[in-house]
Amino acid sequence: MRLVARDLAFGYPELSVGRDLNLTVEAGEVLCLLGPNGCGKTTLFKTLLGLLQPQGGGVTLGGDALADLSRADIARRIAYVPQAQDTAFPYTASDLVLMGRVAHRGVFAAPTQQDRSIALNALTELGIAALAAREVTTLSGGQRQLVIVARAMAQAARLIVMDEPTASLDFGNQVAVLAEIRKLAARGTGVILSTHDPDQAFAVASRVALMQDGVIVAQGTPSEVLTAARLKAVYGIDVTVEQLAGGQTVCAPVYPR
Amino acid sequence: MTGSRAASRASWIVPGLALLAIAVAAVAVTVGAFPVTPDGFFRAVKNLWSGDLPQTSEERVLFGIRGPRILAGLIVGASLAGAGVVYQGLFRNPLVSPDVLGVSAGAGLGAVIGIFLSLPVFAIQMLAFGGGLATVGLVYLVAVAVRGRDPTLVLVLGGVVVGALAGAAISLLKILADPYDQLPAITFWLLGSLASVRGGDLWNVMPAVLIGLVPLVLLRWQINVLSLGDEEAKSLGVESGRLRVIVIAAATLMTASVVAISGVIGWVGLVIPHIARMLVGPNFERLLPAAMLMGASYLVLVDTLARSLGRIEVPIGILTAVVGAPFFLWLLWRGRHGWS
Repeated sequence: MRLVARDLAFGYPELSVGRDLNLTVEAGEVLCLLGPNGCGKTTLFKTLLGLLQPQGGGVTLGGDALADLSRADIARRIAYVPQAQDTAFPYTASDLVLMGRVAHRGVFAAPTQQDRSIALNALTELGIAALAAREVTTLSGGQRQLVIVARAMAQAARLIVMDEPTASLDFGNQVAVLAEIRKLAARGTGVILSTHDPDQAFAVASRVALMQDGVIVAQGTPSEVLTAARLKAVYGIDVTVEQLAGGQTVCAPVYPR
Repeated sequence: MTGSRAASRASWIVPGLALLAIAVAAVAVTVGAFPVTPDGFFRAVKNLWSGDLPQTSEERVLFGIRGPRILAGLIVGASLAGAGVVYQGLFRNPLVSPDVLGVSAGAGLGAVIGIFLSLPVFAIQMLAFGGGLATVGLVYLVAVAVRGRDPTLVLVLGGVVVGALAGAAISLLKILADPYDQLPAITFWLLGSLASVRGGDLWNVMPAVLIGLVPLVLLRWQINVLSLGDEEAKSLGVESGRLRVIVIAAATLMTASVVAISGVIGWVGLVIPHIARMLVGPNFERLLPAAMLMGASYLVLVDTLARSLGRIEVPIGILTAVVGAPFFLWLLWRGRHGWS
């Protein structure tokens, strides 16, 4: 399964956000999208998922144009982990994960026993099976994010879009979510995620796209794209990019004195 | 889900609520200005079963007046509570009632026009039914015309505006109406009552209620997903735009048809879904039957009080408000966690 965006222009009615965007994501790779607040990452994601109509160019999923696919078709190919938000109703974690299965059944169907075991497996793989009967409104932000990731896994799509999956998570939960992203990719799922932390791109991404004002200014491996000069150009701050003794690369801002 | 406490609890709650509804209806049969003993009730049912026409005054009260009234209470209560559950899920807001899109205001306007023109009862009912559907249809068209905004928000605001307009028209007709004859009828209608329901009304209403209910039952899982919000539902594979139209149409059909025979009965569609959600959780599959059964019991209970509390009949809308308003304040006092 491959997602291709060609010459994509995107935005809201009467508001252009981005243009001339070319992207390819293969199953099994992790593409990390970096860019300042308001540069159009979420709008791009919504366009890739078919939630917004492209204003130019097009998106294909597994060779089929997004516009030709039904919602259920799209959902079976690409899953979405939206930015953390409150749920209006206190569904149990397992009921919420189970909703990832709705695209695999007819419109009049109810969840089958098979759906239930798929949902439980997803929770188990993320190590949160104990939360299955808990109401999501009583969970912490990190637990809730993991539940939504579990729902995307139950959706069994080969591609997953994650909008700032580590935002509002504590340090430990950030690492837990990133570790799951690596595992997903290792099992052949393609992941597109956005983040504000370049270190995370070094940790999980096979490729990085750096975005500014709706345009991708650089695309490639993390070490090609995330140089001190580019980060300064995009974020307007001085950054040191260094490799630790263990081989891990980190970015540290240089604070003005 | 499997093995969870809520599910095992829910598995006996729904049959329990069904038994409760039957029990409430059975008690309601024996209570009233003309008391009927359980013995007399069974005798009357046996006579009817063997094909005899109602003869004693006991039988005439049971099958001509009280029976239809209790059945109407069950149907009206179940429909209002069911529609309330649907609207609250659809708008992702536990404070929404079936009136949110203006169905009651529109039905009220239709009925008031009918009373003002001194039309027969059946015509008044049809005008109420048509007025409710037309108002929601108008609100929906407004929402479709306004593009590029959150569709549910536009629907709610459209409902407020069109509802206010209908309210203004009702006020105008009240001023113009004959104060001795028409005005009391209008006021009584707008407060809701089951007093004038006859057996034939039930046959008129049942098909529309069932036509509304069937898609809600069939689409129960999709409706759950829709309550996560438009974008999330779409990303999970639900055609939320189309589903929203079907769900609004179904819930409106149920509400408009029962309002046509009962008048405007507030609070049931707001309060009962809350209590049902506290009992069985937000999963629509269990919530819909639980809320409908509770609404049925509740309305029969309140209607029995309405007809037996005093020498004159109290409009049922007054009683539901007296019970509903303090309950609502209690919910507010409990804070946001009470939404569950």
